[in-house]
Amino acid sequence: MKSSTKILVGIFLFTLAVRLFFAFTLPEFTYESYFNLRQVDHILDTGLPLYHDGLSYGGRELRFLPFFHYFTALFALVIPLEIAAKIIPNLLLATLVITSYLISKKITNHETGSLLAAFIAGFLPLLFFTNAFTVNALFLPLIFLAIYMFINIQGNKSPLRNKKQQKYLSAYIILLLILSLTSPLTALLLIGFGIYILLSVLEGKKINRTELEVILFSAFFFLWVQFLFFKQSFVEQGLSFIWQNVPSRIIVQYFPKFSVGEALVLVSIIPFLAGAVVVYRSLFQLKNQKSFLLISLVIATTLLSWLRLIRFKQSLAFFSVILAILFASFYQDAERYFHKTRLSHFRKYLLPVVIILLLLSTVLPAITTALAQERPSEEEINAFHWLWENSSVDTAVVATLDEGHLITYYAQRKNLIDDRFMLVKDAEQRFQDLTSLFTTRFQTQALEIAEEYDIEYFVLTPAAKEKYNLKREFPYTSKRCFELVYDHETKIYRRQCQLEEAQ
Amino acid sequence: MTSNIKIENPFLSHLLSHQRKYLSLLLLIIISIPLLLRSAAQQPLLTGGETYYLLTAAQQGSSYNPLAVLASVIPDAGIFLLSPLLSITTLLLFFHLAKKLELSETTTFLIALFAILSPAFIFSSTTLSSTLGFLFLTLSGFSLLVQENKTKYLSIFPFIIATFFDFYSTALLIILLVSYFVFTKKIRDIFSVLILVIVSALLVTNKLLLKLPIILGPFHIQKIVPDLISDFGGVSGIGLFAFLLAFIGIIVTGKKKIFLWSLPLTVLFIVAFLLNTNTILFISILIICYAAAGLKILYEQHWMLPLLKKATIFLLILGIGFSAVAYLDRLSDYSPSATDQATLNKIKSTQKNGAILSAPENSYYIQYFTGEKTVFNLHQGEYRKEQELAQKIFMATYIEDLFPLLEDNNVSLIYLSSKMKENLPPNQGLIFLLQNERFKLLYSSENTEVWSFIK
Repeated sequence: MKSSTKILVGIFLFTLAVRLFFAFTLPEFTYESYFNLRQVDHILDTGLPLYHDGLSYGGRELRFLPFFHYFTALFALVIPLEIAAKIIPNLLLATLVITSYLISKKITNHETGSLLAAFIAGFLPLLFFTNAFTVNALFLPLIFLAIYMFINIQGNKSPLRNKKQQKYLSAYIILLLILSLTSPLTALLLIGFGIYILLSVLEGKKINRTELEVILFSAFFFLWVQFLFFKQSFVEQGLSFIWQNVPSRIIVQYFPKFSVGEALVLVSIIPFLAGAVVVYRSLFQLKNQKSFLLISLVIATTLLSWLRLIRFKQSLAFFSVILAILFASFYQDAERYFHKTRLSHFRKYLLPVVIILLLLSTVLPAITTALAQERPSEEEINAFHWLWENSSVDTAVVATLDEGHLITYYAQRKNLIDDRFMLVKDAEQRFQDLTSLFTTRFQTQALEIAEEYDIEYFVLTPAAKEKYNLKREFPYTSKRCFELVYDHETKIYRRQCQLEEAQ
Repeated sequence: MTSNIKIENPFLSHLLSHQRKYLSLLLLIIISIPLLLRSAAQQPLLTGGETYYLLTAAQQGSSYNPLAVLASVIPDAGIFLLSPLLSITTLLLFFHLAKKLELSETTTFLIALFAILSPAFIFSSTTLSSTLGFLFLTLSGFSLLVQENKTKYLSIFPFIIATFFDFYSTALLIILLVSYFVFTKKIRDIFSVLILVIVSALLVTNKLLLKLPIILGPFHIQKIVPDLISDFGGVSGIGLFAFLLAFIGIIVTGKKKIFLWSLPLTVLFIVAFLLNTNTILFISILIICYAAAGLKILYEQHWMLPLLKKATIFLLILGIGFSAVAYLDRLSDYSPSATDQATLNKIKSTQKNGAILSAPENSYYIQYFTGEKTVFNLHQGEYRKEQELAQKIFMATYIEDLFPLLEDNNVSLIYLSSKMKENLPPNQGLIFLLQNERFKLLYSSENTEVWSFIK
């Protein structure tokens, strides 16, 4: 085994070990994970995803791409789901180390730079949500693997005449198929391709025929799959489909203004600055064609985030891996610079300094991110479990927006709202009513809303108290109308009263 | 676009040589689906704001629109056949003209196929559409005009009738005639000059004397993107895949003469569409021509990866087909429903002394079924004001805002269709304010309600 391969395997195993350590040390999952857990559960039970959900929003139609859930369900056949849901995402995200190395190596042909890029990709703070069981865990490794395959398809001859290229082409097409069934964010790759063509035209570069054909096929295939799955959303929401029907009051949380400061923190400062330098030099000074595709992807992501067409954190996750890969180019350039100038005798210090800086600027923030993940506490989960054991099956429960999936997963009861807004006509109204239920001082208003949605149980977790700045309990609960049925750190109230119309 | 693709596949070759039969049959099937579905659900067979506007005009004898005039002499039970007949004849006229103009079989086939599968053409073929009427008359006129014998003189009649729709379509007819005469070098013929003089004179007189609109419509609240791309929920439009294919067509034909010639027409169609989305059929036809050019080029070009070529073309055709199927599914649910018709027939016998308030797009069938005035008439030239008024009325927060608006517009009845009740917020706006004592529920059936407003 080559020493670089050994180091790469070492980085991969180290990344995986750290990720799994946090995943198993910290109990439970992040809030949004429970939606995916429930879907996998349903697939294991019925073989089908839950497209008509009788519990979410009290009963609604749901559309999402199901590959990730089927993929995990396969593993969950062998090991318990909650264990699989901790191992699989971390294993998948750790493979970014290998993919980043391969892409960097292809672009720079620089061993040390590529290994550093792999290390950065392994410890990007933004991807260190070790307890998140989300589609991103599969999407990110797959999309970068697809990019690697695409870069390898390039060549003057038809891939059909070159067996190696033919393999890359087949792999790319299979990956595209899986990606199209995994996440609509695959659009990023296609928009990146579009910008890549545009940049190539502007720079007078002749576009490779094979590339063009593959891009054309990719675009139409992706659109076709999305059309099949999201036809109803397209028709009902038109172009607003992009904003996923997120209520206007919280849309800024999902699609915030592009902030360089926040990006610096989330991506970590060194890869971010290095990436910016590489993009600038490649575009305006060197016109480096090898990294054109990656730069196009950076432009696509930045543009979409800036126009608020893509969720900021999702785009940043994609963006950060590209910057990690581009770090290899930066390191290569830095090494050349030291070699050419009077600073050449300092060259031997470059690698250790870079490693120390990376350890400080990526590993430490990554660990902080892992420790600060927003998850429900064990006590909160016990409360939702109590609801499952002690409430009737068709009961509706109110908790915060984040806790919506805990109601459907642990309590297996109807919720008022959760963060899957698509295809819900009254999402805006429900969000407004949820806010009222946590902020109003008037019992009549709370009862009116509760009656409208048939809500029987009110859950007040410590997280909810903090979010809505509640000191002890709901301001409107009285012993006559709201019986305290679960009294721990988390409290559960049962509605006893009904509003009567004035005669 | 005149060269034929060398077709090696015997199935495709057969399809191309018998395209008239197959495509006419396909059109017949496509038109029949929404009509059969509506009939099975006991819904009125006809839908669309323009349909009911023309039917009301036919009842009242208040319009010079050729379709309204025609509808006034056809028995009510047979009116639904008018558009299907017009569209099938239009298709046959296109085949005839394409042959005369020596358009290749492949191009003719692709244009006709994409047109048949386009929501804009499907909508026009199942509703009364002035644009389709104009297209039929224009193609009839040109089919006669291209004859080398004396029958060409008969073309003057369809051209004259075609000037009675609106100012825009008449201007378009003049542009088409001038282009044709210039290309065929007949611009100085006496007959050519005569046609141009008559049509131009009618353009002016119809506008000044008959007060024909600049552009007929719109008959619903306009939304530019959905009205252009039907997959985003518009009333009609073009499928997303046809639209994307048209881009490829524009890129590949960009340097050709034919593209440069079509450029002024493209600009005209875009401007007209932005002003009034009721002109969608015109821009759809242009998009379809570009899409046909795009697909033809994709098919003709040598690809390094032939398997991807087949897959891409297959996906494109599948995508265009899916858009059509998805649209047919939606079209059968368009208003008015059987409940709408029954409820409005009940209103007919109610004492009224004012206008009926409903969603702007419902106004035309309400007028037709009840014979009464409605608050909104989007096509009458005050579109923006009416759109704002609708927004103010339906989203009013307080009765102090709502009542003056209802009084100023002499509202006596409020008609809430089930779709309005689905789309309007229940806890605010008009629906919430209906709890006030000045509103009285007169009739309610299957989520459709009629309220009276006590002045």
